[in-house]
Amino acid sequence: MNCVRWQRLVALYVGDDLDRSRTAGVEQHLSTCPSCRDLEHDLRSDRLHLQDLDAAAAGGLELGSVRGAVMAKIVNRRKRSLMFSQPRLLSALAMVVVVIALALVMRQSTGPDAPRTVSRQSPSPASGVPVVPEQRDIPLPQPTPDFVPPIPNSTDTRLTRAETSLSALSTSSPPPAPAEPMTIKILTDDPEVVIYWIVDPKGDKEYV
Amino acid sequence: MVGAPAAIPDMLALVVATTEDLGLVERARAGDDAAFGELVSEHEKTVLRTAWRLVGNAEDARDIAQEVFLRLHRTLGRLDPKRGVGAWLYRVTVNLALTALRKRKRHPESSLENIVRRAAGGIERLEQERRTDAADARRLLAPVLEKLTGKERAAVILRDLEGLDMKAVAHALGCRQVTVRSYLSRGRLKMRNAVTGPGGPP
Repeated sequence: MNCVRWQRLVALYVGDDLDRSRTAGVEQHLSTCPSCRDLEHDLRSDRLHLQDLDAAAAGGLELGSVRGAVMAKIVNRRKRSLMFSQPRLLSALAMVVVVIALALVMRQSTGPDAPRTVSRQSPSPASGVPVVPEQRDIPLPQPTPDFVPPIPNSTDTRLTRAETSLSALSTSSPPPAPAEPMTIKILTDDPEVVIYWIVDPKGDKEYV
Repeated sequence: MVGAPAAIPDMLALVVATTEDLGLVERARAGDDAAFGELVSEHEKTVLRTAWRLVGNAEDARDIAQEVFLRLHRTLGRLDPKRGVGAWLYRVTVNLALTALRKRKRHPESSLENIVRRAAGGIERLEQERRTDAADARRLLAPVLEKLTGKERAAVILRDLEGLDMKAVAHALGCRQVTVRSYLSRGRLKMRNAVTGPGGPP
């Protein structure tokens, strides 16, 4: 082992920081190495000098006391935590309850599950395609003024998303007029005679 | 622990201090502020001195000591009574001081901050200290300790100045005893070089 490695051990030896086996090895080396012996002497004196210096430096130092400051901070922290845990917590809880209640009310009135006020009318049997029983004198059915034709299927692929939303918005308004003419099939006694009554809902044109 | 006479072996002093602290810790856990105050009084000098030795600055040492005791108060319920309050205090003090040293290294104080600090501390007091032996000793001690890394400094201070045994130093530094030996060896040799080197004190 060279002296550099011995020096590391000597630095521990001066502070009694080596185990017995290493201590014996260092002592044996010191008995034969004058430079390491000098180092040991210097390190011991350094250690003593450090302690003297430290004692002198600490002796003239006024570090004061931290007890008062620590206790004041603890009391303040406790007060703050109490303030938060008692009335503030309660008011926060009340706020949460109010917000939840408001959200529920809003959801009931406007939510997706809410019943729609859609006045979509399905075609009544009277307004649909009437099947006239076999009678000789068949009074021709007169279109009623409040006739509501069936609404075109909302799943029509021709409708874009915007159109769909527009139609959803306008569900509460009266249904729009049908774009296609309505055809009424009238049966007569003669099976070979069938009357088709075509009504153009946009206008007053009728074709028989 | 540290306040014990030097004749008492380190570990025995540690055990004695732990036994004395146990009652205070139990009372403090139950919410007795007076007991916690006694605990602070018992250990504040040790914590302040250790912090000051590590950071070399009285104001920083006071800040560290306050934080140490506030953390002690927060962790009273989780404190391991077998290890004792003293060992815990040393560990937290060393950790906070090393953190402060690292911060200082990253953000060295500007000259303006030094001026403000001097004004706050009182130039008169500084002038008075400058004439004392204590101030001379601090001026000699500071450059020697500054040659050491934070962990080397902590190991040397705890072992050579505070008189803790290897096990306690290892616990305070949060490392193994073999690592502490490495810190001690390097630290003592660096101090020797600082004394004899060109940059060392006369």
